[in-house]
Amino acid sequence: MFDEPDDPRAWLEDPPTVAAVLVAHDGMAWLPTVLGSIATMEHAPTAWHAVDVASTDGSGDLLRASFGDERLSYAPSGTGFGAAVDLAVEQLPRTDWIWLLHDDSAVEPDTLARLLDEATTAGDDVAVVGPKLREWPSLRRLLEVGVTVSGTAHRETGLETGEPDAGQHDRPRDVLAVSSAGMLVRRDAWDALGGFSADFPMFGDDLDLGWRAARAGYRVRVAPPAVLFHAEATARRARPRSTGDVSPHEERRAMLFLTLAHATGRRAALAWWRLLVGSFLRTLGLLLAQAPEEAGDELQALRDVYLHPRSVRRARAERAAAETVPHARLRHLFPSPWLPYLRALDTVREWAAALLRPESMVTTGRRSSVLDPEPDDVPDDGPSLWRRRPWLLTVLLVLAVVGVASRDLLSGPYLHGGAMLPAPRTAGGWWELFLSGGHDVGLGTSGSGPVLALLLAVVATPVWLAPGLVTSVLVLGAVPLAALTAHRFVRLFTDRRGLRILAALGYAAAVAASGAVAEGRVGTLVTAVVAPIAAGVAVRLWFEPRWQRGVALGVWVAVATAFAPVAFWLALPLALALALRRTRPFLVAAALAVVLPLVLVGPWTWQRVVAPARVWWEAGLPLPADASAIDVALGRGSDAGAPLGLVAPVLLLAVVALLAVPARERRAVVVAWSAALVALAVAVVGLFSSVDTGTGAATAAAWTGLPALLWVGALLVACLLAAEAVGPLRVALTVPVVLLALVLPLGTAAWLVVHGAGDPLERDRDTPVPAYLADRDATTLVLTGTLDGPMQVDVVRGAGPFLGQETLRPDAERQDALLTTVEALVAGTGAAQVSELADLGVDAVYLPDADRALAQRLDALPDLRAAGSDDPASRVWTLEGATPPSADGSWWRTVVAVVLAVAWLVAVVLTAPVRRRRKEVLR
Amino acid sequence: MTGRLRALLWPLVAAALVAAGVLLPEPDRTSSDGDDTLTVEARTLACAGGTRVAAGALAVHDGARREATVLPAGEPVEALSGATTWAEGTVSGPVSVRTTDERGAGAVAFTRSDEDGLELAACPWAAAASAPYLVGGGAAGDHQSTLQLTGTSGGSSVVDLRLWGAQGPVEGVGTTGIALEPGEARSVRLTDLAAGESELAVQVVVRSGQVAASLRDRAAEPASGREVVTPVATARRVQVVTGVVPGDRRLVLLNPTGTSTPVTIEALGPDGTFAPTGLEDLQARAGAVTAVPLPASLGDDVVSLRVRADVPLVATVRSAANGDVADAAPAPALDGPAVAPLAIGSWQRADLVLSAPGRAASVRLVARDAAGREVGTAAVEVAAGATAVTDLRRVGDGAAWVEVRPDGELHAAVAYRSGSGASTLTLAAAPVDVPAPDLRPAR
Repeated sequence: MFDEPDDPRAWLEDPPTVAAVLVAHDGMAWLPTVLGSIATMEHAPTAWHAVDVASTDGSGDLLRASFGDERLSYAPSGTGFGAAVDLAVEQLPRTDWIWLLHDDSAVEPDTLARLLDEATTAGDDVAVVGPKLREWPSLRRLLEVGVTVSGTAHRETGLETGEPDAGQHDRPRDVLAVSSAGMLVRRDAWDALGGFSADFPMFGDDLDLGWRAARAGYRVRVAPPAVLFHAEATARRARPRSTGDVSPHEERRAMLFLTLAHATGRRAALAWWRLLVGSFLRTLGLLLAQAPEEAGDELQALRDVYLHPRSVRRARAERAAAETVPHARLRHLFPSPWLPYLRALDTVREWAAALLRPESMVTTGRRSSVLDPEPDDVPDDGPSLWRRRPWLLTVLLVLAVVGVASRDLLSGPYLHGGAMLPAPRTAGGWWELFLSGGHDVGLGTSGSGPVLALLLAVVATPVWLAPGLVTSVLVLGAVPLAALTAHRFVRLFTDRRGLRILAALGYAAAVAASGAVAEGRVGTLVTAVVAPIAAGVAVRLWFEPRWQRGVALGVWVAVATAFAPVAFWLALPLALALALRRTRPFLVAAALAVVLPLVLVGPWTWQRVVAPARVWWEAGLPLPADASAIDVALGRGSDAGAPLGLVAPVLLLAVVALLAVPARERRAVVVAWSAALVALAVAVVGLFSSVDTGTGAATAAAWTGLPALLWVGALLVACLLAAEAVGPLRVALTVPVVLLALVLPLGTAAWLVVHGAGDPLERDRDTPVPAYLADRDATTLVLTGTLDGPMQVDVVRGAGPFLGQETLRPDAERQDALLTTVEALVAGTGAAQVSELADLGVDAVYLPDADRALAQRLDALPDLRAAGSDDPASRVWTLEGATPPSADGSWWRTVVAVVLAVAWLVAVVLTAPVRRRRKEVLR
Repeated sequence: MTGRLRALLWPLVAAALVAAGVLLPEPDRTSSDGDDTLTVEARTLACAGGTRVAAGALAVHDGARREATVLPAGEPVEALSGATTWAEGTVSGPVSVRTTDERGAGAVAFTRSDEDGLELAACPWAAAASAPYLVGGGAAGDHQSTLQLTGTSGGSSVVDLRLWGAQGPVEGVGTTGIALEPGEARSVRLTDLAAGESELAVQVVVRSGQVAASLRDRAAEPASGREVVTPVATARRVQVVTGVVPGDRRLVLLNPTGTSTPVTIEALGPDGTFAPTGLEDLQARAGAVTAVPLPASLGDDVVSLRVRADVPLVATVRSAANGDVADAAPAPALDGPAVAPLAIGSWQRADLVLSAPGRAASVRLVARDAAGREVGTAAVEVAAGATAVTDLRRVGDGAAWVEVRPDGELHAAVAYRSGSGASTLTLAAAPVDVPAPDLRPAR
């Protein structure tokens, strides 16, 4: 495959001499295998010498039996690997090469031969050759194929975690260093370099040796054809710990010291500061990631290095003195400077993914151990992609349908319409809304911002200048996201992929069919995506109560409640069911699930949770809904939903599920039905409820789409549980059942494709007032309605409110003054002057769909000047002398907001998986 | 089987919930407003075209005041200013009368001119009607009318004029974009807009600002005389023209719509309602002014006419009386107390004409002096569908004005006669309060 010399084994004619050194320290777990592998080598070393470092598990006896006393040395406890090698080298005859082995590294029969192949053909300046390391005892996962160090002092292998060996790294190449396990070093270079440095007793010695060799003009090669299986016992702390062993933070100390010792010139100062700041940031990150031991190691390492600058300077001077090749010529041996940041992103992504996988409460080291007993049962091989990756293809199909349905909504200024308001211009808008006590909205308001602003701000911060992406994904991506979370949830109950896919598709279709997407009901959409996650946590909590799961459940319920307060009441039965178990873990979990959301959502949302007139409020405008009981029963919250009847097959199947499931299996189905009935009951109550913003605005019929959709979702779960209990059906029954189950997703998909996802959602207009008024940040009084009929008054500042600002209540005194003034001006009582509008800060009046009589009444008012408008049916007047409305906020609101944000951070961190330092066995 | 039956309990509960949702009545989400009316705390009336002006109010509360200024100069008219229920004075030109009273004064003002006939008119509130109709004018021969426009807003005002003649809409000259400066009173002869039209109706469409409009008419039919044409706010399908005094009478109809319509005329006389003969086939042509003499079958009493049509019309009746003409105009029924002026010059007659087109109604008359003190009262009953006439001068001695308090649906006008002529003044409720707009925050 790669360029190979014509005869790599030419050296056999005059084979170079090799002295092998084996260092052991309590390695009885691996030594037998290691010694066994040595015995099968095709080409053996010329000489052997073993060193036992204070083993107490019988390793010394085994070595004596294998090598004899004359080829065995003993080193005291605390002797580092380098020192042990020096001890052995002193005993060995002078050979061409020295081969180093660990007591946990097993060779293949041709490992040494392959190393010599490379050593004798790669060039005379090759001083060190190392093998490809694979996982102990003989697995295909790669560990190292050469190694380097990043700018943040981390050992970099260039491999993905768990990367299998498929020959992708089998090209011999120059590297900065190779592991000391299996390292083949030219004797003269070893002597010239002085062997391993005493500055690195256990870790980093190989990197230091390779780096010194490179700076001295030597080359270090990796020979992938030579394979060695390494248990990495020391690095993974798998050895029994004994007196004299290095401290846990030694590895990090070594890497910091290594990087600083080899930094020269200007790079030295840069590295000094970068590692200092980076270590502190890493410490903070480790604390947030619930890895306090590693955080402590980081700080101790920092202390040991930075508080001993003379050692660093000495080491730097020594290495600089031996340098013959400048760093610039060695850049190819180091990774990209962006690598540490990519690693950091990967870490954040993994941490976030772990948050969304509530079953992974514990991770250890590089390979996570999850509590989810279900393997990812995707076979590697199969006859077709559909059979191998059905869910992947299903998700792609859902994305395609949503993409076609959203064809009119994918481009344009801001997504808005229905209940949906546009996003702010930057993510800073949401931060300010949450943290500030005063708001430049309308006539100026003072009040706490809603918690949903905090959540949106956090999610939008990475896309600071384009927060509209967040709302677009929330609304347009809600259907595929709901499918993903629902699929994850139903995996708890069945291994049958077909059932899972049907259930997930049905739920996703229910989200679209409810009308929530078309009307931009952000609260319902967020809750629809979050509900399966919360339900999954609750199910796991039921079978294995942990307080962290109670916190996780509380956090997810809080997320939903922040956007739709009624979600709290829908989730309350979950908590009550937990409390019924009556044992302490369940009571604690139930208490957390109830109390934590009320704490996290803050007073603003909490008031809405408990106020009957406001509990039906959702994020966005209070768009009236006009649903009947039949609509609700069929999963629709308004006329904007899918045609009636698509959900009917689900109802039928759910009833059949109750009847068909065997009695012993019926309990789970009944539980699902009970949850469905709770949702339906809440929906029916909602039919007789109204949303009252408390500002005097007309009450609007409550939107019941959320409980209606959860009612359908719970019925889908009931159907799935019954299908799982009944088992595979005869073909004659399977076909009609599947067809019935497909009515909802396929019918909804067809409706979406034909009807589109818009109406009233749209992207064709970006401000509620004419653009020139928005551009000059005017405070515009907007009047809608007729002189003889109902009239609505609104004050729009600039381009109008963004999502979240609709929650702010206007200052009652100013609002009353405005209403009184407008009333008097419109009625012609003479009790008010136009200047009073200006005193309130209004500098423009806008009638979007101007009633002629009202417009003429306004025409008659002095000091109102007619101005141009954007639509022939609308009218604009401007007035002079407006006093900009002020928004004085109380400082304590900011304090409360910060405390609330910290509470969220603490709660989220508590739900993150706990990371322990790698396994350590203490004697 | 028992288990399966028990399992059906859940779907049954679901069905019961849905049934409850279907059967239970939906809540009433409409909210009732608190106050239905708003007090008129200030009102500005524009008086133009007369030599005498009287300013009145139903009541004068603490803090109330009245200011009269000459337009456009702004000089105060002391005789009309103050805090009394009645004041009268002589003026040399247009006058603005602004009354302020936090508890609602019910402010009114009237102008009178005795030049070649009696012209008496109520000073209009400019914002009352943004496109009033003035029907009964002319621009041909002896029938000449002058449109008087007064800009009463603080800034410039702009109006458009729409004209209709006997043959249809009339494209006038310079009828669009007429600009008026604040306080400017402009007289526009209709002959300058559309000469040759014996009957011309005008609509003053206020595009911006505030403009008070009136029409001084020098009539030729049915007799020569002078009158001030009362602006009519809106065209209606059914209207009551009150105070048609006896004499040669001429009905003038404006149909501003595009559809011709038959018109039904009923007379409300002292004995009840009757249909005068000779008007059975009356048609109001689309977009035109129709003027017909009223038959003698109307009788010699003061009557009111109820005019019905299929489309909104504006109807006025011009009567020849006392060597002059008096125009009776339509107005809505009184929905509150009205002010009938007496102390604005002298009168030979001041007859209050009351018509109850529906059920029987009554009215209480309270005569007051200039200080607002009661000097006499009277009560008048009006039979259903009938018209009653009462001499206001006999309600109380020394009365400056008479408060007319209706009880029931009543249309009112006052027919005046003085030595120089006759005039009919349509009464409207003095503006104490107005319906409150149904105003709510949008969110």
